[in-house]
Amino acid sequence: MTDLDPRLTAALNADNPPARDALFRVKVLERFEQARFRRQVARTIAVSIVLGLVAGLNAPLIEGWFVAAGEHVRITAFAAAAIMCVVPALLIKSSPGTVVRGLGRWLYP
Amino acid sequence: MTDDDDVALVTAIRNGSELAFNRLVDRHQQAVRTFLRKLLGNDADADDMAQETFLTAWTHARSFRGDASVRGWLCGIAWRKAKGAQRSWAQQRSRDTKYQWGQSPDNAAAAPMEDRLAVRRALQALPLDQRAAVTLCLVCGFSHSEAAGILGAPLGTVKSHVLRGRERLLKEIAGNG
Repeated sequence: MTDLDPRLTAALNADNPPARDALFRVKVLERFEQARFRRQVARTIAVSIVLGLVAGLNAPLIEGWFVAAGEHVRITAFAAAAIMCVVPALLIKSSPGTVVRGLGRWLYP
Repeated sequence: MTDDDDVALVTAIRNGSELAFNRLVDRHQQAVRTFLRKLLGNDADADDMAQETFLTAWTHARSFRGDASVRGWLCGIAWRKAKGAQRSWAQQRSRDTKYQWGQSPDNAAAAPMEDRLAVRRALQALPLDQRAAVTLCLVCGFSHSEAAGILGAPLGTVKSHVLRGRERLLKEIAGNG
């Protein structure tokens, strides 16, 4: 320990950030929300692509149903389209597990 | 504020508590930012990396095993980020630090300007590992063994880094009269 040590300590700690900094916390939360939004958009796009592909790959089958069963299939197709629109929206708010449980409760009350 | 409180916060963060995350940022932002500011020599880049550090802590809260303090764990994340980004900011550093040194921080009154500039210049001249060890032990208040854990370096190496770094900084101050 020399007489220079206090000067060194003072110089090293001279430009430290404050103990409380609300602005920094706000900036962290802003990044946090941006990251969450990006994840949610990516997940929604992925789910939409998968559902679109499934519908596209099964298009001949769906078309066959339309021809064979008429009105009944139209109702089913409408319900499927509604689910395709609703599921990504639900995924934004909830985890996939919550969505599956919610749909299960809705279909089998 | 105790280590138990910190561990409880990390446990809550693992369960998705944003309130706990807020508190964690409040409690440890000063230590993480101080560490990164000394390490990078540029306050804006350091604060940017500190924000990234806290986001990583949120997404990787499960990686906290409890064998070190939460503050040490956060500084470890910050250290790995700084090391990873070393190349890109090394190119910008000389330009940006010239600007930084011309600025006057809010709490600068405690030390003479000559000492602050000399120490800052000397600190930036130290190799990255040595600078990190000096900052953790002499500024952030970690013990040598805690710093060794954070940096992933042998204890003897950290002790030697701190000793040599401190000598160089003292020499700079002594040169100021």
